Amino acid sequence: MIQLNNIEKYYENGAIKTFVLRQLNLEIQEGEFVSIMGPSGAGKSTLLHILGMLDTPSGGEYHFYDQPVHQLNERQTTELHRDHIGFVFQSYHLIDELTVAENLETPLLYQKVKSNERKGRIAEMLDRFNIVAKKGLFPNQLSGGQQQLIGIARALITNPKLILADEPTGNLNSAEGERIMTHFKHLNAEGVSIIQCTHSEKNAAYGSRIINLVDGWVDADERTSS
Amino acid sequence: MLKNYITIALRNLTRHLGYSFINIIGLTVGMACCVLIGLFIQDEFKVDGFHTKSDRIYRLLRETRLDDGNTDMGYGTSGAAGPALKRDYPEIETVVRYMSWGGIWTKHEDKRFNQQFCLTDPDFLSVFDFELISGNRETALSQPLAVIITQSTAQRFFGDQNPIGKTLSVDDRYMGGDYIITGVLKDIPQQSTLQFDILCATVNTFWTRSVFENWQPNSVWRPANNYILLREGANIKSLEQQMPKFMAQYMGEEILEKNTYFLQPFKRIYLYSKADYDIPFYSDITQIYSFATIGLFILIIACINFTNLATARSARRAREVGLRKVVGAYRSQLIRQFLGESFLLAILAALLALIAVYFSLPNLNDFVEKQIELSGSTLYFTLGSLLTLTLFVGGLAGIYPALFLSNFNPARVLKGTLAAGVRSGRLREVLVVFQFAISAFLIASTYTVYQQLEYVRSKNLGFNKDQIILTNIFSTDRLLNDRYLNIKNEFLQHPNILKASASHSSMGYGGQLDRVFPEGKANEEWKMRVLGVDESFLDTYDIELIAGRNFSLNIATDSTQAFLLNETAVKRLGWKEPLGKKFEWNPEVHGSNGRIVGIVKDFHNRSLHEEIQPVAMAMWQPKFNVLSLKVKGQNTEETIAYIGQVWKRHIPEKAFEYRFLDEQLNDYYQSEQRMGALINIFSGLAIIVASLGLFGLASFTAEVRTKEIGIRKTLGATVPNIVLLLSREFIILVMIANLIAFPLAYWAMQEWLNSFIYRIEIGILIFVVSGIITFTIALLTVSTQAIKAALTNPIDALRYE
Repeated sequence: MIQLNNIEKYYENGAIKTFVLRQLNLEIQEGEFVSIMGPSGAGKSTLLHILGMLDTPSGGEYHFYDQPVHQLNERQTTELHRDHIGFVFQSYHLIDELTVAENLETPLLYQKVKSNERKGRIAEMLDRFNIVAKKGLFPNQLSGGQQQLIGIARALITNPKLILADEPTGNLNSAEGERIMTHFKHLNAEGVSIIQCTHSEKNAAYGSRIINLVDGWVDADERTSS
Repeated sequence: MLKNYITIALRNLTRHLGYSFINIIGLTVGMACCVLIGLFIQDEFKVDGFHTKSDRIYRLLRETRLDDGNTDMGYGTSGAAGPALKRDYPEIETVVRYMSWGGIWTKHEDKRFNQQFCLTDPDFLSVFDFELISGNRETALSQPLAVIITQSTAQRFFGDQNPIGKTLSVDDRYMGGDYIITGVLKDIPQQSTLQFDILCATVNTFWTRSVFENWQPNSVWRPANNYILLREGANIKSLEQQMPKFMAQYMGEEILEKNTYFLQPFKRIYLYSKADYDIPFYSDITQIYSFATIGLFILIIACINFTNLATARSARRAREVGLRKVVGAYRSQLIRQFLGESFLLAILAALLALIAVYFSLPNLNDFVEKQIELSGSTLYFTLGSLLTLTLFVGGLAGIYPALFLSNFNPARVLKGTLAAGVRSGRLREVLVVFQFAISAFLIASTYTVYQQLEYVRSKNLGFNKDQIILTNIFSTDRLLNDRYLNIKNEFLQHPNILKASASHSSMGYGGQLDRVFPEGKANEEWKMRVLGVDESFLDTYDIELIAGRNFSLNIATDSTQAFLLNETAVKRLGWKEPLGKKFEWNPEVHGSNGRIVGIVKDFHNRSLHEEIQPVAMAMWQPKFNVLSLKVKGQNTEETIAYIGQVWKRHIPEKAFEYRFLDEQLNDYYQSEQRMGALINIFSGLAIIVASLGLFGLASFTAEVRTKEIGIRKTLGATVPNIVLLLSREFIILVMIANLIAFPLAYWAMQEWLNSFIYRIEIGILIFVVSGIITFTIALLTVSTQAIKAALTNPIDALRYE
């Protein structure tokens, strides 16, 4: 599904190049649940953003299915990630001015889904995550765990093939975190590929593969028993 | 999708009320000012446009080149020119003469009113479209001794009765007689330069015939105006080229040498008389330009507020932008969303502006003495311009923020690294400078205008205008002229009436321009303003005599043979020893034995729009019209009551009328003062809108830098340190703005002042003042925000992040 060849990312500050990712090669198959680990500043988030086409690499090739992402323009990559990828963030990133239901609706609007179908899918998501009662509330009226649930629901509502999660439990207490990870586990079982960044060994263990990133290099890449 | 956008926009609007308030109020004020100024300008351009033939009507002008090198452009032309033009040039459909005779007393049975009387030709109503309510348009004016009157005049004299066929008695030396009413006109619209109550086409006295039927090539006083109606398709240029020939044919080559006829388009009379022919008239196109500029300035300032606040606020919206991109928004969709938001704001502002215009229009009308109503074309204009402004503002002010916001890189925004980066935008700095440059320009200009008007108001006129009451007792009853000394004495009985003087005309009008014959200048044509005065004129007005003597009642020949000159006259004549020189004027009355007996210091007998010209003074008892009374400052009401009693004793049948001289002189500057005040108001609004914007900007800067402030405070920064830190940037910007504005303001004001003969010098003070004002405004608005930020607890500030 994902094929990275010699991906580089650096920031230029005057004559000095600061590398975040160096000569990264990576292949991820459909259906995998990958955890990316590593110390702060190892390039985890950057890698995730590049995979999600929110950021462009400074060099190298990126194939998503058969598409050469590095050769596409902004409009094409937007289409690609819109239709295939869902994002979950550490700080949830819900739109404060919109209610729960409206937040869920936003991705569907950009996919030009018809009104009736939108309502159906929102209802389905609310139901699935058991948050029907919260649909009229604004994000700041919810706890962190609840917000993250909405975040996941929003990522799933477009039926993506891939979920990218950047420290999804980083701001949550352990009970909330566990619930979220369980959700991911179920999703993966249903066939959704998941790539998450995490600091937590415990959370990483939910996945089927752990990639250790150090200073922009892949330091270790191993499959877990689970 | 649209619903989603509107939801977001409205929630943003209500959640950040302060920001929305600044934006909407700024835009509302900007739009309302633009529309009001637009309505005013539209109304100015409408003047005289309501006649269907107005494009084919021209007014004959005569330029006279005087011996002293000056030229004099007059719209009074020979009464005989009209019929001759009509006869000689087939491209002319007709010519109507029009002579405004001012207010004269008119009577029907026991009702008397002072009415504006005009003499014209029977064709008048076929050239001009004034609406006739009753009477026959073709014949109303052509019957002998017929008059048509306006609706108000009819109402005044006859109430609801039908005035047709009734008689009006006009009491006037020249126009007097009994006239029969043959028509009633709808009231003359205020958008007309031709204004009258009574219109008459009967030339019945010897005097009116001489004005209307003679060429009088040399006469300086030509009260008739000739309005020429061209045939359709006729060429005005070729007609104007034939005017020299025409002039020579009827008035001789000698006149042609010093005079030229011009044909002025009727529709340009109101606004362009000054610009085209240097005739000071009702209004002036340059004023229109000034207003348009100010309106545009206010709008630009409001738009800049909008753009600046939107980009400054971008940190807050950045996350939303990133998110929308994450869930699949194209950049174009985001641009559309933000443009939509700015349009929403613009529409809200336009609606508020409509309300503001509706409620402030009566005030504007009072102020500029217009009767603009929101109906028909003005309503369409208002709605149309608000729509245009909405599109303009929504698009112009919204496009940059939309492009700016939609361009955020989602990965960076969501990581939270962009917030600090949007703190200082170069464009925003440029816009703030631009805004404050406009403000500084307006302040410097307003201040200059104020200073100039104040200068005019307080300028030493060379005579004392205070506490002088004017009354037209002699022109109201001619028979009192012969007894003017007795009349004066009757007034002087009262202890509060200190001095009294009879004269032909009052100060300001300044005497009649007439031909004079000074000694040794027989071959030259000399014209001077001649003031007909009595022996106590100099004393009443405190005019200084610098050589010779004043008129004296003890010297019998003074009444016809003595003349006083002002300094300018002596200088122009080049006389070293002016006293005793021969001087002739109006030989039929004054004979040929005139002598100069005294010289007076120059004084402003005309308004300050004109330079002091040569003036001669003569005792001219038969033409006394005005009585000037110098009164004590106390008990003015009692004094006026006494003057009224004396008037009543002599003229019981006519109402007593009086004016204070200083008020009357002020009329000459009224339009400037009104315009000055209007410019003040609009400039003030512009500056308020600009400071609103700065206030908003400062509060966002403080907000974005909360963390920095917190860190600095934990490191030991004091409140003044922080305030300085936050204010410094703006202070520098305002300083640059001032530096840009000063030369522009200097240039513009110099241009404006050039239209005044007597004017102030633009000193450094004007710039010091506008500098201080802009700095104060900027400091006040910025520092309140800075102080607020500086006073917050550092831990709160840090926790905020």
